[in-house]
Amino acid sequence: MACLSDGMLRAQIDGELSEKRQLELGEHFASCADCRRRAEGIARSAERVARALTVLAPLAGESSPDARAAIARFRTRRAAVQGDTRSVARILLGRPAWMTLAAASLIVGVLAFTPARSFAQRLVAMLRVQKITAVPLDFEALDNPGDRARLGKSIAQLISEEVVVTVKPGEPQQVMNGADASQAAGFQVRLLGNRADAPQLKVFGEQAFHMTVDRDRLQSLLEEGGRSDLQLPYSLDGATIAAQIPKVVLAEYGSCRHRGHDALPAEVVGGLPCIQLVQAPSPTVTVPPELDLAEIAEFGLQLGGMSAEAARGFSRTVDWASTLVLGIPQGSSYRTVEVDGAQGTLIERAGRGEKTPARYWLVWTRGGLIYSLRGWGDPTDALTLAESLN
Amino acid sequence: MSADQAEGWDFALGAATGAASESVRPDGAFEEVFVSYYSQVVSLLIHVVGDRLRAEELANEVFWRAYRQSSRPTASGRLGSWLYRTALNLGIEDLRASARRRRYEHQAGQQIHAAGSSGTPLDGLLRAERGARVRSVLASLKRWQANVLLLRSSGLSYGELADVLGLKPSSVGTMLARAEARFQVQYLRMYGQEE
Repeated sequence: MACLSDGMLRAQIDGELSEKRQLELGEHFASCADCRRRAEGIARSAERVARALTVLAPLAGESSPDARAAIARFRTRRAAVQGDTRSVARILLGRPAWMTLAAASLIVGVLAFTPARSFAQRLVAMLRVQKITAVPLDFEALDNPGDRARLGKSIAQLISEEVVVTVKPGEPQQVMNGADASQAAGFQVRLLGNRADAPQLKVFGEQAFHMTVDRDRLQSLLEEGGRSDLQLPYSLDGATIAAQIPKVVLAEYGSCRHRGHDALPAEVVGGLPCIQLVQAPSPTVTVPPELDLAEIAEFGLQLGGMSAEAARGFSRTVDWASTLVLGIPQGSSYRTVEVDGAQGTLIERAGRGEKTPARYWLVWTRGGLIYSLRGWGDPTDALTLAESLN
Repeated sequence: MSADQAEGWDFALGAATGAASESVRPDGAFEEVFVSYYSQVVSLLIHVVGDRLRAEELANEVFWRAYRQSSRPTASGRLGSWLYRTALNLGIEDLRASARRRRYEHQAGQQIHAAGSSGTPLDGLLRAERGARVRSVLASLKRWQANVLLLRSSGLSYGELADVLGLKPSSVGTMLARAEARFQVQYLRMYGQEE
């Protein structure tokens, strides 16, 4: 018998060899000093590493994970995605739990209270969007992520209890062409003129919701979440905030396959790169006239990791009644561009290896509609595509 | 850019269609699987990231991804492998995020101290430091090496381990031996002494 492989010697230590193999190994050991010596070395190594890795195990006194609580959170998330979150912002901003986030954002101007990690699309405040601006945020500067997670869960729970949905969007409607989409959506739908292929078109239904703010309850949640340094504006208390989100049209070009939350790049799925064009009239948000939007936005920016001074400075530069503000994470860059006869924001992220090419996201408003164009590849493609809109 | 932020982009760019959510059914069967595997997935993630709360957050993400998979494997064995594999991937990505890794020592120290079930505070601190070192070494290994060591350390048999990683069971011993040898070399290189 030939000498034993390291793999066999290692498996023998763990009792993972078949009985027959075990017998063969025993016979061979008797006559092979070299194999015995190698086996001893492998056993020593295995024992040392196993001892080192024991430190990774949970402590003996720790309670078991609470699967019931986890499944309750899962159901909440699922309900949000399947129901109310077929919203304009989910389409425009890509966050399934957006409605929850948006409601909370509108209430407390919150940016970073959730355990969620998609800050690029985070909404700060919105009344009726006429323009779009971006602000870089340093989420690394945030406090303990555990606190943030707890705070996010608490606020999501609060909102799920207090938001009243008055119009539900229903199932999205698949349509054949731009004319049908225009008819279903109630506005003139535009498509990319420089694409020969027909897009997959969907029209998402209108929805509306409102809630009344309990300022003290929100403040206590903030304190439980480790942000007792921040004080919610008192003007929020008792304010009723209502949002009405019109119909949204999504046009997908190319090979748009998804894995989990992610649209996959062509380098993975093959075919033409996926391009997602979204268009919708601005949502309308109604707030009491005495509400100080700049103060609330300032609070939200601080919660998002900005210093008090920087938040105040930025907040004063924005007309919060008409501006959609996007938080840009580190690692992504953005610039203001001329697009479609208007001013837009082009957010870019560099590629990361062969399978993850660069990404772009272009957002702009024109004629009372918000447009969003997302895709893979050279960010300047976004401008060329946008200019071809018919 | 942190893994979190990168994923944020993925999420932002990818979730717009609702296509994934339309393919996720049936819910009852999935919840049964959720309950069956949740503890095991959290336990594996605690091995990887060391922080209980973070492990639960990542576990939630693992199950959410499973739910949103358009071609979700339905046989429980295959789904179990998929869950383990995804948990490992997410956990190791998380571990590799350098900013977060720097926080582990501090957080682990706090956890041990708070748990109060493992001897003196000094014992807790020493354990936390050892854990942080081991995780740093794992984060520096090749992905397959860390995967093999973590799965074996979590108590998976060779057959289960092979299933999760898509290997032949007969090659697990070889990979384990190589990963262990590499772990020791790397530990010595990073900390100047054997564990």
